[in-house]
Parts: sequence; structure tokens; C-alpha cells
Amino acid sequence: MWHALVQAVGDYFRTLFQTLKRGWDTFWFTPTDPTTVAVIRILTGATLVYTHLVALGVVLDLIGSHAWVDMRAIDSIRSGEFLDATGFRQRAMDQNNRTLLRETRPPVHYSVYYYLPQQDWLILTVHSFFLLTMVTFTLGLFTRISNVLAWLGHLSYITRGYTIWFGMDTVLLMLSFYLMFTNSGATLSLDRLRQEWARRRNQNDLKPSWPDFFFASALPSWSANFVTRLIQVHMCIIYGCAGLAKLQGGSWWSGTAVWITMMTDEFTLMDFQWLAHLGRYTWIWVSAIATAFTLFFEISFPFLIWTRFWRPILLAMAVLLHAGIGLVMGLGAFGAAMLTGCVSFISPEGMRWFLDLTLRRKEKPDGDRVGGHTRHEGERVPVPA
Amino acid sequence: MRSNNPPSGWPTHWVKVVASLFVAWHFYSIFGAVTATSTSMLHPAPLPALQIARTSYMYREALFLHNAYRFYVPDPGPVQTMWFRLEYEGPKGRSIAYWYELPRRDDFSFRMSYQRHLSVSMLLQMQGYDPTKPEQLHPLSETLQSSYVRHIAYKFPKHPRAEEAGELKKIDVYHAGRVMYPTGDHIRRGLTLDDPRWYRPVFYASYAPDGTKLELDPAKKFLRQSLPELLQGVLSQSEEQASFSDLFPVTAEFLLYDYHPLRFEMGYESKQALELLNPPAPMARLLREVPEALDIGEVINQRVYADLVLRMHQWMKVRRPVRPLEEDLPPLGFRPVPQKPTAPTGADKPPALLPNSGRPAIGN
Repeated sequence: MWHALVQAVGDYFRTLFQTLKRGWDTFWFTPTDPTTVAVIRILTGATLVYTHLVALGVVLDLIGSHAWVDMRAIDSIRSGEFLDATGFRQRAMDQNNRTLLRETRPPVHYSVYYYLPQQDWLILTVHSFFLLTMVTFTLGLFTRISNVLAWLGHLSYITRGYTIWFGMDTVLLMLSFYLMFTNSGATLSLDRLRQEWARRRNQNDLKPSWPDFFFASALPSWSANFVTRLIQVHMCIIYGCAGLAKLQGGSWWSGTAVWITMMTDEFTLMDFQWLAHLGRYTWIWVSAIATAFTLFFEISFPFLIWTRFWRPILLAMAVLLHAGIGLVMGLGAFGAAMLTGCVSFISPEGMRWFLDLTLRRKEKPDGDRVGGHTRHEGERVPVPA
Repeated sequence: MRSNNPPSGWPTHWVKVVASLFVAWHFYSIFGAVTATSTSMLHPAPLPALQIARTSYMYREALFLHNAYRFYVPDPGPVQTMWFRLEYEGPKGRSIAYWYELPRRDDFSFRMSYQRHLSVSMLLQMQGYDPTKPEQLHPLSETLQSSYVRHIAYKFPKHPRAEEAGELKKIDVYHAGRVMYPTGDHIRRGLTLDDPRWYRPVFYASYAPDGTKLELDPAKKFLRQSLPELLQGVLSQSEEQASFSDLFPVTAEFLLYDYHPLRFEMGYESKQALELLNPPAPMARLLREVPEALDIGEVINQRVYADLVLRMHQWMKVRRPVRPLEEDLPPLGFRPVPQKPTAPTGADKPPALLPNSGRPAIGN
């Protein structure tokens, strides 16, 4: 009897392990069309270009030789000297509080700007160079290398500025970091255009127009799926943490949280005080509904986004939420970064269909088209997310 | 035996192993980042999470993946800004001040630049206070604040609006923010968003232009720290505290130490003096609401200061009265019978300053 029981338990765990392994492989490594990651690349790159381009006027205030946080402060923080300079280390030792000392250890950040001579013209030149790499990254020119440089440029900018970052930057860094693991310029890029041009020139087939080269589809790759999955899981973590942590706050329970953000006139784009005069309870109802909407969306996102039924609804809610945040808080670039992350939940087929519908406006007669996507010989049908 | 040739587009076995290990490690470190952050003093991070997070600290920090993604938690809080008072040498041994507000919206053409500067102010104050010496900022913030002072000193080595001003002597740093944001009921009662009384500027420290912290002279210490606390204490015994603002003492000091010398000793017109001093927006708004405060006399002392603070408080109560709402009143039938109107007593007018006839206008 014991033998049969042990064997049954063993079989159960063997099956469980095999099922998990199969599921893991399918989830992370199934080859997919890189169209979705290409769109993510374009949107991430465009947001990076915007953030760095508009910063040109104040870049020396942020990362110049006499920036808000100068290199003297950065060096002091990185070396840990600031603990002595402020007397903190001595006081913590006097109070025998070594845990506190350990918790206050300086962050380990890296930036290209840390190693540059502190001359403003040089800092401006390097910033402009990184801006250029962000433009080439967006356009998909020398995509692999410009991806690395765009990520490095933004990381260096944020860590050198030290106190200039906010939520948008962490999302942009996350997206550009993950994109380095695949060739996001495999389609919808100047790289693709160059490749297709060279290939067809050899075949003396230069009839199609330039957009056809740019939009030409690429072979499915496992790394495109891998990157898409990394972004998807990370987006679930972001929304899940943001939603669950809100449950610690009284205003998120009382329904006044959104009202408070509407009154934060340091952020807002318009005055919302008129809502208070619409009636005794109007403002609290508007706020309570918007607060409940935010909580429902953020907490349910990690669970419901994986289901076919809820995915379009949640993506529409994401657009609504970030449009609202953009309108109320003026955080348009943050919304753009978050929605770019949400794009990872749109299948490549759906993305192709959408691009064909909106940008190309015509069906190509050649090729075996399924759902707007031209299949290649030997291509496996991707498993839907 | 495992095939070395995976199907088209699929990775090899070892690539899968390496990629899987990366995924496991990466999300393990992200897990550390999101769980090892304390939302507030009341919601500390669990100790096991802190210990787990330490193992991947270097990886997270190097890639800037340390965000806990807790946007507007536990509650959306007031935005913290900073005010800098730059003191330059002036003629006749006097000082000329210039105020710089970080950030002021009008100074930026692009929203993104404004947002970055808002982060400069907010991230400094987000660190909180030094756990070993609570009256002092966190050591990281102390270091950053010294750097901010050096930046300001570099940016404004000369007074941007007064040619007669000399070298920059010192920089006072104030941390400013709102006490809270008005609810819909506040607004309906007349306590609107632009009411200057919502602001709470607090003097933090004085610095030399090279970022060294200076000892505060006893007279200023009394004005900036002891007297506001004393006034708050006196007012806390009554209902008056609700409409008292920390902006009043700071504005009174601005009037007596910055505005008064320009107006009465250097002969500037009131408008000119204000333009030259560039007061922060809430302070300028308060002075627009209570222009009587600008009519201070030629002699000043600490009693004048206290008097001015209390008068600003009284003036604002008259200028921005709190209107009772329908729901504040007792039910119909229980309300007191309205009295017949009597001749105006002048009680609804703000108290006027005594005439300025070459002697202290306030405080006597």
C-alpha cells in the first residue's frame, strides 16, 4: 500500500513538474513576430527623445558642472563620506545603532557623467550624442547598438541628476533595458528597410514603395516573445504594487484620494474647484468613482489581463486612467511610458492588423496572410498570449 | 538524448537554462525592491523582505530597478517646494534680499522641465529626518541641500535685479508645502485653493554660499523658531488656530527685514521693492490680499513683528470669511430668530493700522 501511495505522489509531482516546465517554455520561449516589440521600441524611443529634447534648455541645471546636485555631493554620497561630514556615523555609533548605519549605506549608481571632466560644453556634447542615439533607436537605425546607448544615456542622465527622476524614468529604463534582449529593429525600422532594400535590389524587385520595406514583417523569434513577457510581468508588478499599497491609505478607502490629486495645483493642468459648487455631494461622488476605478484597475490588472475577455477592457481602462492622470496631474509623459508598457499585451497579429488598417490602408496581395500578418515558410503558429 | 537542433525560432536548451536563471534572479531582485520599502512610519517594510532585498541590492541599484512603484501612497500628499532667501551686501551696511522659489511654474517653458525641478525639491524632503538627531534632515538630504545652495550661489552670484547690491553673503533655506488641500466643503465655505493660509513655509537653516551651514544668530532664531511656536501655542487655546498660517510669521519677517529697508531706508517705491525682492507666489498672494501689511512704519522691533503677524491673521479672517453652509445650520424651526439690522458698527471691516507719523506704526 505504501509503495503505491509513494508512487502516486511521485507521479503527481513528476506530472506537475513536466506541466510546469512545458508551460514555462511555452510562456517564455515560443517564437513570435517582433511587431509588438518594434512598436514598443518606437514608443519608448519617442518618449525618451521628448524627455531629453525638452530638457536641453535646463540640462546644465540638472547635470551640469554646477547642477543642483554637483559632483562634490555625488562623490561624497558615493564614497560614504557624507555620513561622517554630517556627523551621522558618529551619532549612530554613539547610540550603538549599527543597523541604522547599514540601512543608510549610499546607493550604488553609475553614470557616464561621473567620469567626464566637469566642463559644461563636454556635458552638453555628450547629452546631445545620447539624444541622437535615442533618435536612431526610435527610427530603428543600428537598433542593437543604439538601444544600448539610449538606455545608457537615460540611466546616466537620471543617476547624475540624482534627484531629478520620477516614476516615468523608471518605466522608461525598464522598457529600454528589456528591449536590449531582442532585435527590436527587426521590423518597422530603418534597419529593416535597409535589409529589404538590399535583398530586393539583388532580386531586381524594387517595385514596392519605401513604406512596404519599412513595414516588411520579420521572422518570428523567441527573444521577441521573451522580451514581451518580461515587460508584461513587470507591468503586472507595477500595477499590482501600486494598487495594493494604496490600500494602506485612508483617502483611498474614503474615496477622496482623486479629489486630493485634483486639488494639487502644483501638478494640475486646470482648476477643478468648480466641481465643489455643483452640489453638496457631487465632488465626493466624482472622486469616489474615480478612486474606485483606479483601485479596481490596478489591483485586478495582474490577474485579469491574462484572460481573453478582460484584456481589451483592461487596456481600454489603462488608456482612460492614464489620460485622466495626464489631464488632472499633467503627467502626460508618464502616461505615455505606462501605456507603452501596456502595448506588450497586444498580440503581434493584432498589432499588424492595426498598423495595416491605420498606416498602410491597403492589403498586400502577395503572401499567405493570416490576420493581417504575412507568414513565412516554416513559421510556427505563435501561441496566443 | 536531447536534440541539439531546436525547432526553427526556438532557443537551444542551454540558452533556455541561462534565460530562465536570469528571469528568476531578475524578478527575485524586483521582488526585493517592491517589498523592502516602507510606505510610512506606520507601514514599515517586513524584516524578512529587508534581508531578502539586501542580497540583490547592487544589481537593482546599478540598473536603477529599485522603485517600489507606490505611486501616491499611502495617500496623495502635499507637494513640497523650497524657498531660498539670498542675502546680498547692500549700501550703508544694509542687506538686499532676493527670494527664489523652487520650482515656479512660470520659469519653465516645458512641463517636463518643471516636473524635473519639482522632483529636485520633493525627493530631498522625501528622505525625512535624521533618526539619530530628529531636528536635522536625513544625512543624505543634508548633503543634497548643501549642493542646492552651491547651485543657487553659482546661479545668482550677483543680485539679478538690484545693481547696487554687492556680494552674496548667505542663503536661507525654507521648506514650503501645503498643510492640506481643501475638500469640496472647504471650497463651498470660501476656503478656496488659492487661499494663502493653506501654505506652511518652515525655515530650515542658513548657509554660506559654499554650502556650509551657518549658526543662526539669536535674534533671528527667536523670530524664526521660538516666536512662531509661541504664537501657535497662544492661538491653540482658542478656535483661532484653524485660520492661523505659518505663512504669516515668514511674511512678517520678509516685511521687516527685506521690504522695510528697501522702502524706508533706500527709498524704493513699494511696487519696485517687491519686484526686486521677488517674494514666493503664496507670499505675494498674501500681500495682495492684505496690502495694509505693506504700510509698516519706520521703526521696527520684535513687538512690531508679533503685532504684524497677529494683524495679518485678523485681516485674512475678514478678507476671507468662512461662510456657513446650509448643512451647518440647525434644522428649520430650531434656528434663532434673526435680529433686526442695526446701524453698522464697523466690526466687519479689517482693523486699520495706526497712522504712520514718524513713529512706530504698529505695536504702540
